[in-house]
Amino acid sequence: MTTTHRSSDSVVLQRYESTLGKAYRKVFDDRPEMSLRVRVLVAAATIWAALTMYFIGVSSTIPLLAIPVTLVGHWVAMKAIRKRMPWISMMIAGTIITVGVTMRFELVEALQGNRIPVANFLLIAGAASVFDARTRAGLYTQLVFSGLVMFFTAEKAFGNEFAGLLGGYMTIVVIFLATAQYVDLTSGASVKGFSNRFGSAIYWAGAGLAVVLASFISFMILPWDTSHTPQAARAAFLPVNGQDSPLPNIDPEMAQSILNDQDGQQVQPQIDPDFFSQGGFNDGSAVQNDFIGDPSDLTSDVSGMPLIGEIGGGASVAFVRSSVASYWRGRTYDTFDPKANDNLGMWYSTIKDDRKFQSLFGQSADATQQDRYLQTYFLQQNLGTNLLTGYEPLAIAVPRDNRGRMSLTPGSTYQIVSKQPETDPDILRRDRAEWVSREYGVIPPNSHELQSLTAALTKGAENDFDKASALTSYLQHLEYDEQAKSPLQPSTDINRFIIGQLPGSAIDFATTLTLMARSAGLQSRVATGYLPGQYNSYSGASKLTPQDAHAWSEIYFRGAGWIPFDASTRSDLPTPADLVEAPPSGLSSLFDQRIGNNLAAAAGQTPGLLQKGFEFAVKNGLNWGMVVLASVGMTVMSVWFLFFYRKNDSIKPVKFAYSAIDGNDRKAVIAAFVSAEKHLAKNGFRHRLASESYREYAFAAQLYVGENAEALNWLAGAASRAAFSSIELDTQQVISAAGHARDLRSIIG
Amino acid sequence: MITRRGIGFVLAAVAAFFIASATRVGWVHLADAVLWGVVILSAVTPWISVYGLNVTREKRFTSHSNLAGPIEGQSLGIDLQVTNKWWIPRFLLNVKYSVESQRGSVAQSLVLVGVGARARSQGSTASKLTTRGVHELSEVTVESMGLFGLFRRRRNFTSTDSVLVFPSWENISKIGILETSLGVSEGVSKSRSGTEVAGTRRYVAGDAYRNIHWRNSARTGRLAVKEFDSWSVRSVAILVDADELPIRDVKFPELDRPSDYAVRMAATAIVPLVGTNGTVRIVTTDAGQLRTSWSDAMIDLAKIKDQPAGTASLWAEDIIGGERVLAFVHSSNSKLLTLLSAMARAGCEIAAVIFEGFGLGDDADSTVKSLTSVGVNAMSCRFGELSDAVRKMEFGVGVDITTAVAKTPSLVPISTESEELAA
Repeated sequence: MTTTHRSSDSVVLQRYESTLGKAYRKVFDDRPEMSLRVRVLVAAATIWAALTMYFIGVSSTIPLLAIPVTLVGHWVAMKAIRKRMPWISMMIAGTIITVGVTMRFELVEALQGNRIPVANFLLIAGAASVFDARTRAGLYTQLVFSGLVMFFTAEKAFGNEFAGLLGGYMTIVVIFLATAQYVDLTSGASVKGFSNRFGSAIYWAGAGLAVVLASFISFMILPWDTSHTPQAARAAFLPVNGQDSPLPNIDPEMAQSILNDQDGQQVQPQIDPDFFSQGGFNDGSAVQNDFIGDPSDLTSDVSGMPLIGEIGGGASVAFVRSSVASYWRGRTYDTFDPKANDNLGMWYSTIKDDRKFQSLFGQSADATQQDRYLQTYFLQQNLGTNLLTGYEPLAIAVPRDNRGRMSLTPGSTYQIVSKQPETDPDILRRDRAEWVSREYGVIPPNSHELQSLTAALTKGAENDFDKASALTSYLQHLEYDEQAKSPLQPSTDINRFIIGQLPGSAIDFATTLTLMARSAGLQSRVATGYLPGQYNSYSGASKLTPQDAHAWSEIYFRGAGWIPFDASTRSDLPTPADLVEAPPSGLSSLFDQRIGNNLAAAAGQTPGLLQKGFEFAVKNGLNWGMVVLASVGMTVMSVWFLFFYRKNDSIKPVKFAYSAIDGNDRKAVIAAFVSAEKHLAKNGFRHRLASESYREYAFAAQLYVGENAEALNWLAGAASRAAFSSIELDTQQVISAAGHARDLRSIIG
Repeated sequence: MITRRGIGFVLAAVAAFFIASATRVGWVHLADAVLWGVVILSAVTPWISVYGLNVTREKRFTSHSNLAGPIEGQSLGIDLQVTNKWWIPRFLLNVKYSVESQRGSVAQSLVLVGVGARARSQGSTASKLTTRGVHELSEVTVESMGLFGLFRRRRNFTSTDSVLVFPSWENISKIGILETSLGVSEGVSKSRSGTEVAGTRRYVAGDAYRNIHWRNSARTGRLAVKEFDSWSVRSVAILVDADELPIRDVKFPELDRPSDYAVRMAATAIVPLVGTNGTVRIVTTDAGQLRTSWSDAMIDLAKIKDQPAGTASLWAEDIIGGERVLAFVHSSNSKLLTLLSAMARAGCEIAAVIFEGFGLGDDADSTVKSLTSVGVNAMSCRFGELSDAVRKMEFGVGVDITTAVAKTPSLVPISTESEELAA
């Protein structure tokens, strides 16, 4: 029931209230949303969000801790509803600050793509905020925070079981909306409900069904194409297959005949000499290479990190969100031991990779350039130091342990800005091989067949790129061993593989291509990693499994650097149809775009001083800065609480809109009252409460002022009239008011 | 029309859509689909909820003494009947109207959770009538905000209506201060011609002993009292001070004002005045009409509105010379009090009730003294002591109420919140 005053009322009715105060009262004043059932629904939403975090396995302690805190908070708030309890505000602020200080490093992790610590922080902050009993701000804070928690949780929800968790949460939200509306609607109204529970049940069931149907319709008509997101782009990998391929067509039978015909003599390649002139340069012979390693160069005592064929069990290795779904590269190997692994061969990594990556804050990591892309990796298994990257990593943000070493444990998240390789054949044909290291040119002894076939395949090639293309094209006629135990374990020996007698695994293809390239005088190595994986349109991430493990070759060019060549014929390779630019996916990409396409770009666009300050804060400042901030805040609040706070009174004086009061006389009368009020407060009584009228204050103070109560009452009445009445005040009243105030002050003081 | 909640919700849904499109995270799309589903449902249902309805409104109140309206302090019941003419059931209909009086507007709402297909649903609301006068009932509006309150659709039904609310009163047998005004005035000569005994009647409780007609009583064996012709043939002008009191603290706008007290006491006074075939005239802006009917006089009183300061003194100028005056005045209305003093000096017979306690500085004692000194039979009435003042008005100033009162049952006892507060 509301009462409105007539507009013709001539008195000044409005007590002073600032614009901010009006907005605050309008938004946060006690409303039906403070009802128990609405509060229960808010608590349910938070608990559901916390349990969701627990169920998807990204975090457990904090979400489970937040549940009882939330329940206690709601209980306290319901008990103390509408009461002004400053200690609760102190507790809320103190809790949030303390948690912020405690979680400072985790929160910084959000900059590396891991938003779960932020979700944890929001859970705690939301749970603390519901202790607020004065307004409904805490209630809505927790509801919004729990929604954000679900939002951040969705980023790490890679399985379709999240649909159930999300559906449950949305159900709670919808019920909350309906309940809040019902409470609003029926507040202060006569209500005629259903005549029986059956009718009510039918109604709510029908309403629920209507929401489901409307949601389904919305789902169908909303213009979204997530489910049609292209799988992967393999444009970064050479050679390009298809009818336009400029590569020679040599099948295994032809290769066998080549090898048979050589018989210890120089083999004449069965390649059309004019073939390479079709798409490339025709102004000379192929570049002469002097970099072929002698078989005697092979290190007899191979040392270094071996390539392990088995990559842990489990359903998944990692999830990746990236704007480009490329191969995900792990380690590279340079040295091949043909006698290891029962003469099937084994690759070793003997050259130490001492590259220094840029920080994501470095300007060189600007991913706005077309050939660069950002990936976010969500590790599901311990990969040790095997850092998965895009093609050529430029900048990384990787979690590290206390000693500064990379810590790629299950559950950790990191981001990398990578650069795509040069894939333009015309450019690569102008390029030429470059000497990098002896290890990249060594071929095993007794590789005559491999060398003969290489010579036959590359005879007439006019440049190094054509050589590599010819070798790759030939290997693509060979059969892939779909029964291989692992793509990284050899299925056969090289000699039988290169003539097509036995199928080979991915490592067989990579080994053969690498060694043949070395035979052709090119610097090459083996790279291992993963195929783009299975893209889930609901999570926006690609799932990498052990079956996606893969190996390929890289050949070095002076200008372009290491260029990947994949000769394997495994059936689950991305198809040419996938050679479309993949759309950005993942919340990380969104956040990065929002702040400037990525963190690196944001940092790059930040003024230098600010950037340095931010980096310093991240590295050093947050630690002590937050502690100092929290300490000062808590100290100030404690001092105020211990020495200035009075439990039941508010010493905040009431202010009036003097601008709404005409004439100095009115101000003078009010000022007289205020002077008496201040004097009373100073001498042991109190200030007028915010909710107290002048007369109420005078009544309350009459025992204190004794026989002067009459004067105080008169003064209160005069002040009330001066503040609210439209009648004119005469000078005599002002003089009397001042006199009364003076008398009161002299008597009391 | 979209509501504030709806604006926020639609913005959230739009934001979620763009987030989903940009991130390609399908979960956000799923959640967004639910949000848009809620929006669609909320947008459609209000439109189909408020059409095809028929609404009727019936007033319901307890009638006292054949008055054509309720009495202040009582409740006005409104029966609302909504008929659904379509085959579609309707849900969460908010049937609203407002009751506007001179003291403000009160919104009333009846929520019908469900109205079946081609069915009828009825509910009632009740408004407490806190003041007298014409209460305007606005059109009945049926509003639907759907299940979630994101969109609103309203339709108006029925026409406006009004109801006249009468002031409360007490049944008293006489106006003591009018009687005693003839005897207590000092320094003013009074003609006895108007107080001749016109006849006798049977004694009733409350009659003054001095008016007992002993001779007839002895002759008939029953107590008989004298009736004076002055009460029956001369009209009494009732002057009500309805000027607004500007010094009230707005914190308690619901409390009674001096004009409320004045009208209630006037309503109480006209009971014996017209009950003895007398004539009263409620002095208002249009000079007032002579009333011999209690209900007509009550209508005049019920229509008295709060007026700007100074209005009552303008009314008083319409009082006819020689007319007896019963005035109800607030002590701070110095202009009217001055006018009454002047009229008393001019020979008018005036009895006055002076109100105090409604604001600081409204002291009635000095006013009563000054009026008495010029021949006005004045008495005071403090805020919260209306019932005592009625007794004093009935039995006259100076009479010990506790011994003199032989209370007659009151039809509509005056009971106000202010008295309870004062207690």
